Amino acid sequence: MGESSAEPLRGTIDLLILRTLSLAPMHGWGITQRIQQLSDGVLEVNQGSLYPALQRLEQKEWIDSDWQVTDNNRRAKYYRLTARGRRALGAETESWRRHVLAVEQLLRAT
Amino acid sequence: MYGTKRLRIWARALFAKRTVERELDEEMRFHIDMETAKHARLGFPPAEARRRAAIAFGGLEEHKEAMREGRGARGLERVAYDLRFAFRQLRKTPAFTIAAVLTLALGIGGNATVFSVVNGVLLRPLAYPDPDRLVSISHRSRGGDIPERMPHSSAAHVAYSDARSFESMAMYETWQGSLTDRQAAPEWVDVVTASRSLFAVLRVAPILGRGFSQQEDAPNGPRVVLISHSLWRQRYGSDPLVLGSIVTLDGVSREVVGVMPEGFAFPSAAADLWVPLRLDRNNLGGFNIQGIGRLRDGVTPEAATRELTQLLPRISTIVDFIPAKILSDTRLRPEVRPYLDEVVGTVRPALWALWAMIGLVLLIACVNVASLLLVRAEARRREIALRLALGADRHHLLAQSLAESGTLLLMGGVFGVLLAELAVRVLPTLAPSVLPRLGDVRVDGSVIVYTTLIAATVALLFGVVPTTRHRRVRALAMLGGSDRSGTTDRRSGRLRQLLVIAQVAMATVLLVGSGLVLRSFQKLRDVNPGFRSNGVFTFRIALPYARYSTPQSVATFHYTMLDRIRALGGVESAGATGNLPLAGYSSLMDPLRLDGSPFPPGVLPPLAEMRVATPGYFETMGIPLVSGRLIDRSDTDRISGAVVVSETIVRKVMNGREPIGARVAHGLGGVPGERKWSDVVGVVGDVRGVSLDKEPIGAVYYAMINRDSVDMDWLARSMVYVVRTSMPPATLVASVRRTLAELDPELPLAETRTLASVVDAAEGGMRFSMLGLAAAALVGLFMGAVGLYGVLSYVTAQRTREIGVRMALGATPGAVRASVLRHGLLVASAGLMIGLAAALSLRSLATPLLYGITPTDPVTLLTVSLVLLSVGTLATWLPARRAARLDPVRALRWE
Repeated sequence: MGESSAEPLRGTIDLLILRTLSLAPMHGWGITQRIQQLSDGVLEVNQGSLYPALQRLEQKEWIDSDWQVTDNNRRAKYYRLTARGRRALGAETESWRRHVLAVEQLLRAT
Repeated sequence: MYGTKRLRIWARALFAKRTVERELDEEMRFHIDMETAKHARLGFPPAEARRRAAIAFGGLEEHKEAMREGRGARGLERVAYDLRFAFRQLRKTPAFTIAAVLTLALGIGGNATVFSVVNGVLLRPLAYPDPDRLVSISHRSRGGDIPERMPHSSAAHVAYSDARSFESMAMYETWQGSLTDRQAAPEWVDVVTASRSLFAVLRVAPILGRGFSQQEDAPNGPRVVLISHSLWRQRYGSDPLVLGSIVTLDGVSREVVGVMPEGFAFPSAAADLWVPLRLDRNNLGGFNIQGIGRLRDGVTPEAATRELTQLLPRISTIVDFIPAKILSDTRLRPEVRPYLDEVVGTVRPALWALWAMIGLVLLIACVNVASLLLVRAEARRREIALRLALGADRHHLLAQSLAESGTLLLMGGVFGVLLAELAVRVLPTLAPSVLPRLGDVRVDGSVIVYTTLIAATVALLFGVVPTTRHRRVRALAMLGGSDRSGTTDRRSGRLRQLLVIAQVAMATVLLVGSGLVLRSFQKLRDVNPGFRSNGVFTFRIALPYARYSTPQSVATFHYTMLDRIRALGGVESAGATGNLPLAGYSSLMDPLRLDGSPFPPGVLPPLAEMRVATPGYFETMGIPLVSGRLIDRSDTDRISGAVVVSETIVRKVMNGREPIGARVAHGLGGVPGERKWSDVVGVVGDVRGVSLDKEPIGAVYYAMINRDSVDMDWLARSMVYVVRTSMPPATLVASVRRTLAELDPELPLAETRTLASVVDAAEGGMRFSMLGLAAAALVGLFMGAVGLYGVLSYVTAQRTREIGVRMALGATPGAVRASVLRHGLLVASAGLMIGLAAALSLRSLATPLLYGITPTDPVTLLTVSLVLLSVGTLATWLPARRAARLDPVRALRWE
């Protein structure tokens, strides 16, 4: 856990989870690893925010879960994107981009 | 859907809590295991790998808690948890829990019971369509010698016949007779004679067959009868072929034309048969029949009364025996009242009073539980303080305390409703004849709703008070352990004292109420009814016209029967009369004239009861002979009838003349010359005929006579026998049955009972209110005493250290005891004073229930005060003694 890694910004964790799950269903630990990989080790998701976020998304029915057996024969809870979640991912991505652009614009304005 | 998923999660969180927790645990463990494996792959030894994984994961329980919160069902889970916690707490203190639950169960159960009765009898509408338009038609008078309340009259019915306030009107009267047919043994039945229009007024039609036709309700029309559903089921096995069959009712053959629906109970559930009235317009009667009507939509009983008042004077043009002068002298006026009032009758004030009283019992119960909870809260202050110091949420503490009250209340409520269910079931055996509409009394939805409302009120009253006390607990100050060093918290002490004062005050009101009714009952029992009921057994034998068509045959039968009864071993004496006094029959009253002192025209002569008596009747009943002689067998053969009059008649009618040898005659009608005069041969003591609490009206006893006389036939055909005997009732009934079967096997033996039970039934209304109120008062007094004892014990215990100091400084045990006693009696007296004042201000509620005393009866008030003060002393005595016996050294160390 290098010093270079950072907590994702508040509010973006939902987006990160949705994006990760859009590639393939995955369990909680796998999601943290995937985010780390995809962000080249920059983003590190804390378990304290991961699981509540998963629970929240499940309540919103953006993701669904079931118990499956992993490659090395362990039972694990796998999360998977629902159709509703896929639509939400589009909207969230859109809004994130607008947000980034706006922040960028603000920073350049000086 | 968004919502359903959330609901599923909640449901899982609540009902599959274990599975949810296990899955959560497994998911977390899996995460840590994977993390551990990752670290192991990086080359750390297993222990170190696991340590690093654990560090990386962070606070496991914290995460889990966040997840639990995140489920959103936390509030519900917490309630469930609090309830379980409350239940555990309550189980730890069984004495407290049993006391509180029992108190609540008594309070709530009593209220649910009384409400079931009030609801069934007073509040629930009658089971007829548009019942609020049904009214009774009766009359009221002021002045003259006639009763204040008079029933309807067929003459008045004719006078009112075109009143526009009414949609329809009907008249009815009830009687009893023997029913014979080919089905079964003769049966004694309740019969209602009613106008054809009765069924239109009530809007009820037979379920089988038809109602009366116009022709059948006319004089000399065909004789028909309608039967009740229960008679149809029990006697005729629900056979539809009963229609068209012929039955004999008191010797008259009638065709069965219809069966009334199940539950049709007019005018009471006792009614078995209905026969047409066949009103004869040429032979209209006085005020001796009941009236009922259905008002037009929107017409009030008051408006109908006004219209009938205007129509009343017509009565003088319809019948000549009610001249206009009598109407004005007696200030007679019609009275139209909701029919429900007629049905409910006199129990209404008793029920209202009972309801108010049982409400007080509930309040006392609330106060008791509140003080129990207060004491408990005091005892737990330290625990609460500790939990606050450890970071417990104040709201959560409040919620837990509410959960505890809620659990108590729930248990009390459930037991209370069970108690009510039980009470309502035994009620018919306790108060059979007193309560009308008993069939409508049950624990139903509205009772449950009422009980729930009551319980909610109770929760507010006792649940919140103690919980507010937590708010004042100062965590640090309490932990110092200094809370009990001196005297108790002054505010909580004062609150508890106020509660006890309120309790004693309410118990006082209850005691005064039941004491007054008890005293009235005593007074009523002290009333001499004019006869001795002990050891007398009675039954009725009615002779049908078919086989006993002449007065001679009637007299012969009764005399023979009486002779055979007297011959039975163990029979001291026997006699017979038409109707027993106090048996609930409206006794036949008629104006009485005295030969030689004519009343001026238009003046109503005094009323007298018309009774018939055989030789042996007065002796058996223990009615004393005052002068002259009693009726004997020879009177039966006299041309001019012989009568015995009671003392009141001598006073009212004779105007100082010698009664023996005077001649009297009943009735208003007829030509004076043809009036049938009877010779007065003796004077006997007065008997209260109508009811125990009414002064005797005075009676004229006729001898059964051998000559044709409509009056005499009416009086003597159905006779009640009285037998003074040392035999047990069952043996006597068996012997009498055998004797009767020898004389005439087709006659039923009816109304077999002891004379004492007749008197008991006459006291029934008073007995019912007395028992109800006494039960309420006893429970209230007991709870009040327990409350006083509990609070004083606690206060004394709280003062232990203070008492120790006093004793160490030289106070004697006597002084300590006196101080505690003084305190208790002060509180009790304060409550007593307030209670007496409240009872005085509520006296109008009690007045209709009382007899022979006023609501401010000094004996009652004094007795109640003494009882309360002695109970108060008793409740104070134990704590006072305990305080006086304290060892000062131990008391000072007392924690």
